[in-house]
Amino acid sequence: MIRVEAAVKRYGALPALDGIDLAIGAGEAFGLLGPNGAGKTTLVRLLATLASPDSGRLSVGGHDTVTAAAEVKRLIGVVFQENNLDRDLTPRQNLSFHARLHRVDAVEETVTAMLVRLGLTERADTPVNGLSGGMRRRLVIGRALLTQPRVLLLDEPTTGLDPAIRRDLWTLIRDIRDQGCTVILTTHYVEEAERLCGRVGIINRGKLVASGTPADLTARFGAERLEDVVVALTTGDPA
Amino acid sequence: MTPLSGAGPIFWREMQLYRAKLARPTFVVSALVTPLMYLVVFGLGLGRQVRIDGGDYLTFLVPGLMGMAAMHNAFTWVASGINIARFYHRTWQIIMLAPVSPLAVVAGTVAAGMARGLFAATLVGLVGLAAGWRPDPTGVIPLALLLETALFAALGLVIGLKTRSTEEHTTYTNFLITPMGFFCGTFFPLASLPSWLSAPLRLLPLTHANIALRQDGFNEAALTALGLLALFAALLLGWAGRMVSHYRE
Repeated sequence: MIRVEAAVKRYGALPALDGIDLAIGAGEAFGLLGPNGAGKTTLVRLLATLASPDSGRLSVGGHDTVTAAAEVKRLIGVVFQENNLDRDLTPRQNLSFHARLHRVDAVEETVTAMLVRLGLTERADTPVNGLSGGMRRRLVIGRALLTQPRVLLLDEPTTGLDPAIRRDLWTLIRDIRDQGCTVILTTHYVEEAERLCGRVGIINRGKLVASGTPADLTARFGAERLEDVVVALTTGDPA
Repeated sequence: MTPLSGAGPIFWREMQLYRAKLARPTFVVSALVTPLMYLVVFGLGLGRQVRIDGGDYLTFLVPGLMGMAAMHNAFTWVASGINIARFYHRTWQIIMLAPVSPLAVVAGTVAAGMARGLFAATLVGLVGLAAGWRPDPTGVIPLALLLETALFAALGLVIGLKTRSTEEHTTYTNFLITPMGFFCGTFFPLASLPSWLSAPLRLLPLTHANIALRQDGFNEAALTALGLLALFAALLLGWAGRMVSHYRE
């Protein structure tokens, strides 16, 4: 479903991605772990067609992210780190805009059903400014699901949220994964990747330094926990 | 799916945002403060002692203030809206991630900017009517305002996508939009300026909007000014389309 071949992206002289190769199958949930500035968000932006690689190739569902961006956009849902919502509009208006923009059938019914699924019916007509951080996060994820994407890109979806809300979102993401959607999840939380993803990749300074199932990686590096592997590969401290 | 699919939802969103702003009485009042101040200070105060082209100053000033209000609102709403959407709320990504054509993005965004510019110009015109201004009834004014708001909304889209920070956006406003408001014939005819200054000002679109807004019917001067406004609009819309189609973060 997703292929990344020798992808390089530089911002100025600094390589944000430095020749990454990656293949993710349909229906797979793949976690990307790494420190700040490792290149996780850059990879998501390239897959989302918001940025172009300096060299190499990325494809989603067989469509090149540069030459067939419109086809890629029809397949993906994206959740960025920020709650990129229109704050003066209500949850219903935010979802309606997205549904109309993507030509979703039966906009009103689809939006209402999503509000129910997100537990936001009581606040559906309150401006987003009046919602809690957890509600906004759920709304952002729900918006990405409106188009029933085949691939969901989640860029640090639970960063900064309290543990209860994080677990609430894990349930939502697990449901999406179990419905057969391909999920790429970038996160700082090793536990999150272990719970939600069948396979993880560790990215550092723009390079994919290891990938596999959590069990494979801990065995391969002789570590007790996946967190030890991540620390060892991104800081040089022994596992 | 047509190339314009997506323009409607973009326009709808912008109008929802505008409606949310209009619901605050302070917003409408603040939008009117500057043109009203000019109208009172220059039109009702200074205007009693001034005559231009044989007519009273109010007749000269009101169309100019309408043109200035249309320019400011069409440009600023689009340019600053995109600036904020790109750098603060990150909502521009939502539009860029949708499978819609650049034409649809330009059409929806520019139409919304036009609506805001026309609304502001209409408010100024209504105040002018209350003060005794009598507009030309032939339709030159609405047509000039349509073309003017289209070109400045398109310019707002270009600048909104070109800038890399809020400070840079302010620079364009300070060095391009505000001087146009003062020098392109809003408050005094270009003929009263020395030719070395008035000649370059004739290259700026607000000059021709002001010329068209002050004509009695579709005479030669009106048609020339409208033609030039249409040319400016076509060029800027094309530039905006190119900016959208090449947009990458």
